[in-house]
Amino acid sequence: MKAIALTTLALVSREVRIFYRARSRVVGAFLQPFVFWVLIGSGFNASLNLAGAEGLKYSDYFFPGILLMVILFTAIFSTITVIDDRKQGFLKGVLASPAPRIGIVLGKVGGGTLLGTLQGLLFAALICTPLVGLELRGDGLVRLTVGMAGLAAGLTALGLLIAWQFDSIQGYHAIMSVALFPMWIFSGAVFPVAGTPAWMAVVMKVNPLTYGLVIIRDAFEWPDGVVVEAAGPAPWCWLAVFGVVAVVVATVRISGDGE
Amino acid sequence: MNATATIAATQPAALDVDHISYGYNGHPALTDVCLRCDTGALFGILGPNGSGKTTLFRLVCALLMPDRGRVTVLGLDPADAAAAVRGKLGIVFQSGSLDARLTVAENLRYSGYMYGLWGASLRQRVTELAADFAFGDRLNDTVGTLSGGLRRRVELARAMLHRPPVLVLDEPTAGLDPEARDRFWQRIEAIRRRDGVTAIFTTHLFEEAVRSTSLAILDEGRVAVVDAPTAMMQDVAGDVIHLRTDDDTDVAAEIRSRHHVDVAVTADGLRIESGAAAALLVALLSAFGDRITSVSSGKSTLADVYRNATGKIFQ
Repeated sequence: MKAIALTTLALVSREVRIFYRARSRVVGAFLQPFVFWVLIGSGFNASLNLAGAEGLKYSDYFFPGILLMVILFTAIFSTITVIDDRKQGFLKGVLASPAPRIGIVLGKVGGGTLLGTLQGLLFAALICTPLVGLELRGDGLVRLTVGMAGLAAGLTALGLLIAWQFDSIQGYHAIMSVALFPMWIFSGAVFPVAGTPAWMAVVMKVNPLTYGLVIIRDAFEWPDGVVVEAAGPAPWCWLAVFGVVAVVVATVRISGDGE
Repeated sequence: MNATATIAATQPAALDVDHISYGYNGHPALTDVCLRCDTGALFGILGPNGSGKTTLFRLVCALLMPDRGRVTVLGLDPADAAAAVRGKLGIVFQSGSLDARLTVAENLRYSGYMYGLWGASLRQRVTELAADFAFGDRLNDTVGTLSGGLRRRVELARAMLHRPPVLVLDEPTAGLDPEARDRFWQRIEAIRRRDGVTAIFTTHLFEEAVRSTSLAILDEGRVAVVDAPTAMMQDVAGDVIHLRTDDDTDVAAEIRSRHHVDVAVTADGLRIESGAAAALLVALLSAFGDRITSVSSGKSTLADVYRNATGKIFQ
């Protein structure tokens, strides 16, 4: 247990230090989703009426989806560094040490979770400005924090698993474009499940990000008449299963590999 | 049998490589390799690029598992106890394993955590190593700002952090100038003498290989010869004469017929091994003086050993 804890501590601490030393990454982590939210939100505000959310500004509907995007992108950028670590040699040093493989996975996942959750909370603080017409529910902050942390853990483990397969960042980018980004789109972040074609509704139902988004969205107070799915036990269970399975599969994959 | 002899006989080798083979996608990188490195040795593995040195290094470090055969480190088999084996090794990689974005102290601290060190004992060890390896004033500098030589010192300190009984170094002086290389090996020698550490290294440089107490020469994934470098060089038949002539093939044939010695025709001229080189040289100068354009004679080198063992020129 001590070895696992020390390995996890080393890798989480390293992840956080490297992140805050890369100023462009710090700025980009906030600015990219902000610009995305402003452009898409403003563009659709005037022209889009969402089924089940009539009267709601699109940018407000879209806001939880952007929080999901912050977490997804943090997980991607946090795990894409594995490819660089392999090339630069740092990963060799870690793998040649007696550090338990579960500790390596937990360290990487812990770092991505911490950064993703903190960035998500920082972005969520925009609700304190007139830009966002949403407020948190009474226990919303706890729900939001725990929900985002669970999502970040699952997505970072998934990202680690994907990054482990690739020797080049281009390969990871390809997967990001054809799998991870569509997962975000089909989560209900951009449009609600209601009113979508049957096949798309099925895809959205099996997408773990859909449940993460339900949890995030349920952390906010919504105007009267807006129908938002309540985050009962089911989404929390799905999220937990997603996180645990992703961590276990990543650990098994990494344990079977020397380098 | 006295007690000391009993201990020596039962003490496991620092490294025992027993008939191992390994291939990448069916292409053999190592074939039936057997080696034994005794505790306290400075064991060199010499070979040209592609000879299997790095594959052997990875197998020793438990980063790969052999397709066939068995590797043990201090009696431990990585197949059964990979973490225990890794804990016994201090590893210096050819390309380095420090994070250039972190400071020297952070690199050492995180590496310490990986080896189960922490708290005051880790801080003390980092301070000791910084003093020992003379980088105490650079602890808070990021590794990316260090010179190549200093970076290798930090790599070596990192490998020594957990006081491993066995150091494994993969072409550890790659990219260093001759002076920095020399200083690096002086440090390795000092560590061996002071701490009794076994050091196993790969290299493609003769001047490094000759420092070893025991040397294995690899060729195309097989062990060509294993022995102490001095013994290997003595086994080459005496001294070596190098000649350049106006027609190497013709002169070589004449020397063979007159003096009944082996003459190798190489790109650099003629090469003759002889137990009585001085007398032969006088005879050759007398017989072929008008055809010889240059001559040199000297003790045999590892290049000669390699050529004798493999029939090839080391490239």
